[in-house]
Amino acid sequence: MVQRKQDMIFGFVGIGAALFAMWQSYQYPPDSALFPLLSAAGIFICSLMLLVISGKNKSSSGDEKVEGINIRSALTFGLIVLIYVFSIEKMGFFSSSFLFVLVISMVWGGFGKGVSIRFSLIFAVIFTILLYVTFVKIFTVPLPKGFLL
Amino acid sequence: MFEHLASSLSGTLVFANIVAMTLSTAAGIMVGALPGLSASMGVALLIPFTFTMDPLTGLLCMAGMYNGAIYGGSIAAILINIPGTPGAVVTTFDGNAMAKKGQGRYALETAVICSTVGGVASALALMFIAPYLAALALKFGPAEYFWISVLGLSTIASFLSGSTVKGLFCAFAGLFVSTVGIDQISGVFRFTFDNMYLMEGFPEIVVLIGLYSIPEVFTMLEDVAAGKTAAASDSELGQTKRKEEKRWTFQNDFKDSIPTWTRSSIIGIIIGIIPGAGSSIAAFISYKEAKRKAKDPESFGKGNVEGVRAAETANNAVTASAMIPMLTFGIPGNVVTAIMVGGLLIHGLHPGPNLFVKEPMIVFGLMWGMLITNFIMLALGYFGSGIFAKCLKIPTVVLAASVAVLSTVGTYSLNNSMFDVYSMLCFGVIGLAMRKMKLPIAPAVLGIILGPLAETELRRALMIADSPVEIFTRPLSFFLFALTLLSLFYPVLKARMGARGNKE
Repeated sequence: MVQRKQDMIFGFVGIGAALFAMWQSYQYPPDSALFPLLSAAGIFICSLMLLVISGKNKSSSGDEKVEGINIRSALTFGLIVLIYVFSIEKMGFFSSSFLFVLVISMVWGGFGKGVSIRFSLIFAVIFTILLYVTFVKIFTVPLPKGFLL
Repeated sequence: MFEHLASSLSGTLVFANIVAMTLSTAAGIMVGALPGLSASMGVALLIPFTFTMDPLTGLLCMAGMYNGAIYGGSIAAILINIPGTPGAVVTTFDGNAMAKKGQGRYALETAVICSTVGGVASALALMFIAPYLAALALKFGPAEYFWISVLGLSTIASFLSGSTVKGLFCAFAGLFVSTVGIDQISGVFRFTFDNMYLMEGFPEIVVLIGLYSIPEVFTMLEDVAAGKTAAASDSELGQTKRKEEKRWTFQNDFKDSIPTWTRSSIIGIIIGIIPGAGSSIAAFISYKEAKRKAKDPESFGKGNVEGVRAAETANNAVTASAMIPMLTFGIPGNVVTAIMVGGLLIHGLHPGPNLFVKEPMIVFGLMWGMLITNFIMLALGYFGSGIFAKCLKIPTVVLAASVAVLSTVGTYSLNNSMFDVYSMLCFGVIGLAMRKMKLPIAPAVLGIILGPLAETELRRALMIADSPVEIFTRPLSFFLFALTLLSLFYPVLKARMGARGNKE
């Protein structure tokens, strides 16, 4: 996607979000609505300006390609993070964190090609022990406990 | 006010604080040395650790992390030609060239000594300027405070972003996010959609960790997938051990360094006070000045030690001076100090002139912390640069996984709430989208931090004023309003003047 097209999409989304925020703000007493209204109006004006600028900007800078995203990495990372976060309360913070570090370093470490599995395992164990000592023993933070630790 | 400065020293120099400053400075150097981890992310991740500490100890930890990280960026810049932090970009110009000539250890020693000089000068400026400014700020009314926060936002939106419009968009979005939750003045629930978790709004630290950590973790993993990691080779790290090469000596280097130290410290201090300008800008200006004054400007970029001196003195001279607007007006000068405001708030401390009156021991203790951590940094950097350089061998993938876990546990430990963790992840996705769409994160962060102050002061000003126009027409308000307009239109004026210059 080129920069100009992305800015136009962004401008339209901004206008929609600002209008929704303004409509919501009108439901509050005037005193409480003032600041959200001002902020939403600011978003609206900036989005409109972005649309106008990207409409006019047909030069080479507007047709620059924007930085893409590695979809495969994004989906894999998103899935692993979601499983990690939802498993914290079920399995316990330390066991799920240990598995998370291990899985991330194995998947992105090329299953032993880039980062050895032995290193990943040792690092995950030491890191989890450090977390336990720091948060449980030193800072006495109550962390979620599940059926494991 | 200066009697507090003297009396707070004994409170700062207790054993627990010295240990905390040493550990956090070491952690800061490590964070700075690792490309991909920044000072802002380091401070954001550190704040949850300080939650259970005494407020002063917590702030001293942040001071150590900040100073250490800004210096630590030079280690990777010199050894592997990749700046550990944005402020160390300029250090790569001559630092790496020196390393390639076999003067890596000399460059590292120069970097830590110059960083210390810049940091000490900046801390002294903080100690002697801030109390006077705070006394002046006590005379400000709500309208002036409102305009100062708007000015802080507009300068960051204009100068830190490639596009003023995008910068302003993010600033307004940040201001809007800050309005979610209970209205502190009227008690009305705004944008909570009957969700009890949203009633207190989004905690600043949760948003900051999400915006800074998660995109960084994903970028690191993307780089690993693309084979673009910054692991150092043994020969590059071996530079720190060579015994026969040139070293920093008092006789050879001290006298030659004085003009650069003086010039670069002044540049760094001034740039630090200006909201929006940061350590990288200070380093660039200082480097240009050093080159202009040099007898052999053509040797810059080819391993001239003056280049390292200028860059490292200036980027560390920004650290404490950036706290001057934060401590005196409550307006952070850059992203790191904006995050530190979040750190102050979780300890129940509201930055601004009243803090000098209510908690002088903490304010002046923090100033001592900014000074003392420089000397800790000098000792750690001078004798331990080889150890910190070894961090460059840590595989990026385990670093990314560790940051993700620390972000999760740090966020959870703030309120023992999984909702905060989910919010942090949502802001992480937003931060990633902003990064990919080239939208600046700094104005959004500042909007979130300054939103409550700006709103409260605006409403107080309107309550006091006979007419809304009065908030523009009070002499100081008008001056600040004019400065705000100037900061917004400066990029346009500069572009027009540049275009006219080219035509002529």
